[in-house]
Amino acid sequence: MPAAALADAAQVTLSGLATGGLYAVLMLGVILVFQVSKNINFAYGQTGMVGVFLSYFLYAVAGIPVVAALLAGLALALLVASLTDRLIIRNIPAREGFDLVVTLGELLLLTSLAQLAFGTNAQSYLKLLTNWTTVRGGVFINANDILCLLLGIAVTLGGHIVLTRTSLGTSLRASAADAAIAKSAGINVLGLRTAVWTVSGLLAWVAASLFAARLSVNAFYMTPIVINVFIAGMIGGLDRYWPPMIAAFTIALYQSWAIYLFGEAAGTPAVFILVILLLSLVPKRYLEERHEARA
Amino acid sequence: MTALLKLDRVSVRFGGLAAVTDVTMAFSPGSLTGLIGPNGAGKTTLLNAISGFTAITSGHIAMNEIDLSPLSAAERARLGVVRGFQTVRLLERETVFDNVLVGCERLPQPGLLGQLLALPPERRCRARDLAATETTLRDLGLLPIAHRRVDELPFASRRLTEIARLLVVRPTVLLLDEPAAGLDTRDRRALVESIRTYHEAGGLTTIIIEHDIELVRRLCPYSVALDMGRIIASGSPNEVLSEPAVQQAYFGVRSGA
Amino acid sequence: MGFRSVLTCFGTGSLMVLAMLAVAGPAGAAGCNPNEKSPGVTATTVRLGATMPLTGSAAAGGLGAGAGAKAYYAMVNAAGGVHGHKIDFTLLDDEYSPAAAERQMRVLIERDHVFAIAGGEGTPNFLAVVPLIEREGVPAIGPYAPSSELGTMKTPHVFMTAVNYITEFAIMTRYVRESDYARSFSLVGVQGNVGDDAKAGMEQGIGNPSIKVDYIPEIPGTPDFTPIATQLRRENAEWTFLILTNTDTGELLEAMHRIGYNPRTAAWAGMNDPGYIKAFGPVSQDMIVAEETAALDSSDPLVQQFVTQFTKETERAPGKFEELGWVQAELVVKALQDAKALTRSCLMDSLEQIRDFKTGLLPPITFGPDRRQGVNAVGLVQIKGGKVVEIVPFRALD
Repeated sequence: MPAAALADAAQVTLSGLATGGLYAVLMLGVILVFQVSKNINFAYGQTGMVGVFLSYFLYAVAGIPVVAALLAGLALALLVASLTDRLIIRNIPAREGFDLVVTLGELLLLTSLAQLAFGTNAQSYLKLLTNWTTVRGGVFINANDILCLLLGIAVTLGGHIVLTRTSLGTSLRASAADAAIAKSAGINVLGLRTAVWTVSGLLAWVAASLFAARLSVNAFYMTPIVINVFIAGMIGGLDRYWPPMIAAFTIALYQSWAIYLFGEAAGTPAVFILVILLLSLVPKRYLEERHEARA
Repeated sequence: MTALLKLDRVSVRFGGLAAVTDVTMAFSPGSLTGLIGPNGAGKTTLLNAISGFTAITSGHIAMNEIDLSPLSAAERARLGVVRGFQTVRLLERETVFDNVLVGCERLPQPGLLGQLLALPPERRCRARDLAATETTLRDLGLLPIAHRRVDELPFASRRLTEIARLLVVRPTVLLLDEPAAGLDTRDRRALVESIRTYHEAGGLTTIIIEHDIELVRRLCPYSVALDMGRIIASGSPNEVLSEPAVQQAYFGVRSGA
Repeated sequence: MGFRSVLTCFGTGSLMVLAMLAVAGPAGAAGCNPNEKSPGVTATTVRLGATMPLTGSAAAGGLGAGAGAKAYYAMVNAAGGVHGHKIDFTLLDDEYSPAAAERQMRVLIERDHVFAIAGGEGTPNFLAVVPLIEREGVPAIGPYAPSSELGTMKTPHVFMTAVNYITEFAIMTRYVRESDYARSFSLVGVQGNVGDDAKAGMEQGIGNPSIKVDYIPEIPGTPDFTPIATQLRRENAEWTFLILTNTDTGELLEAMHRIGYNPRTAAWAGMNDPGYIKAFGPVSQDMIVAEETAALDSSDPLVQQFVTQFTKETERAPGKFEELGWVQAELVVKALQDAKALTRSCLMDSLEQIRDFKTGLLPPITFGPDRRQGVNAVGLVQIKGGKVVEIVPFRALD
């Protein structure tokens, strides 16, 4: 393979994996919330977005020091996430699909509020290492790409270690499988649920910050990203761990290559073709084990 | 002897339905009590009330003079009130080992940071929990299947796994709801022996709901009969079973008929 | 049926068809009928409507243009309206989506019974509603929807002031060829008419079939621009032309910069926006941008009058999109004022009479009985530092 083509292949692969790393960060929050509280939060991406937009406004417009601005943005994301659970999810009827509808409404609300508060223009965010690049063999290795990839791997491995090797992980798995058993074993299921939603806010903020550095920040930028994450979750199964986390990396890499080979217009159809193929070819037994039919 | 667990005029109503009415009972430390009665008598509701899964409408429940009413089910479990369920409830996609390990969550655990960083306190707690789990599994004969998924196991092993989860950390009060349901004769016998062994070794205060009268006779020195939410008899199993009210409730038979 | 009966039927049928044609006439040339019944006009109001992207990645354009239009109508209403009629302007969100645009246009026409469509922002979304507009015979004035499918007598109810992208990109490309002797070009454009027109314009501007344009269609809202940037780097064109949303343009340029590909760039007029330059100025230096509306710091008195009036109405300074909306409204009001009566046919007639209408914000506008493309000129500016510098004043394609 000619060197230029190899360099291009490496470039697309690196970028795809970096995006996949951030998808994995988001995915952990999605599967934790789904498994522990049995909900899907469509406003997940916007939770991160409002935190990032607030940070931007504070440091770029109000002149607040960057670290303080970032912490304020993080606090907002955590607040939005935990309030979504406590004020919205816990108060809606326990009918299937209600959480989807209500959090979709929250997505629209947060988007509108962000537009009102921060305007409609896209804003260039903090660099977060996107301006550090080294060239090896014609491949432009950007530090932010490496950061996102390593973060995705760390979160994936760390999530697995927490879930399988710690008391917290035992409590989470018990709460996810059967709240009554968890309660009878002394686990504070409600408290754990609030903690899970809050952690999901943290993960959303981290991913949203890094995406903002790679793209820009505006009221809508997280929406197509979160859609891809949910698709990866649907492929892997939101009630599992490794399959959706691997699907997060895979779908980003796959989409990058589809765009590179067939053009940008192929990006979205390629993903849906993949979903249809997998649903057709994967053994039914594998699918029937999974209970999140709604996903 | 001072009672460990006291129920004082406990009532539970669900809307217009009185499930439990004015129940007053006291359980001494290390007692083993059978709770009997026909279907719908309020036995499971009473267990739910003691364990915190159902709120009481009036009355008091106290353990070691601690009022349990304001405490959640999880808080009562951490105090040592553990309960089994009428139908076997397990974490279906987990192994026998991990199902039993969950029971160790009743013990104090280190903070999140300690867990994430595997600091010494976390490592000690983890070792403690793993050791307790292994011991319990060995005692109940479950060690050979410890790493099998529970949804692959026969019913008797599943029931025993659930009981292992309750016993892995010595409870103060053990509540069992029809633990023998669905078991054949041999497994029932084995279950009875396991419960008796643990009870005698640990001095557990145990309350067992059972429809198997013979099991209650063999296992429980003391029993209480409920019907329509009220206590209708209490005493040794033979005394309780010969009470006319109990015979009427269970068999529809009047004394002397 | 006898021969005489057949002839009678045929003759009668033909007369009926001829009668219908006489009444309908050739499309768009019916003339002013003051007695025509037109919806949207009461004794005191004239109802106008438009759909623009108010949410989504193109929202900056719709919100800005909407604000400009509303400010103008507020000013006119405060001065008494048009012939004693206040303007009642409804703006609906089409999310830059053809499906949403069609849905909202139905609301305006079928539910709200607007008199005319006043403005619009975005090409694929407006193109989707043109069949409905033509079918219902609603005059649509000055939508910002540059497309070669509009501005001809095929769509006689749509009066265009936006230069189509073929002309815009032809003018830009010709300038680049003449000034830089460029020999290799790539284009990244929104998939569909927008990108296709830009490519056609570039080819026209290049004027040499041996020089190809490497065209990459794009869909708004991409989460990762590195694959596209890598494709562009592979082709390694000297110049990359862009016709994307502002957000996507900036993000693509940043992705190109990260992988070490930094060609000369040129883009459609949307990049001539303070918000874009503030956010993405560092990666857009020396970008050549089409100028469809006058520079806001121009010394032209008409431009200064707009800036003053808009600021007074809204208590904020206008941007390019606000300027666009304002001039759309200005054209609408002129047509209403000049109309012999407030009927749709009279409004159409009034528009067709517009000759060399100088707003200062656009090149002079001229329509006609067979002319629906009112403007055919653009200027060129270049991004330098945090602002744009004019390099070519308004000029038409010769």
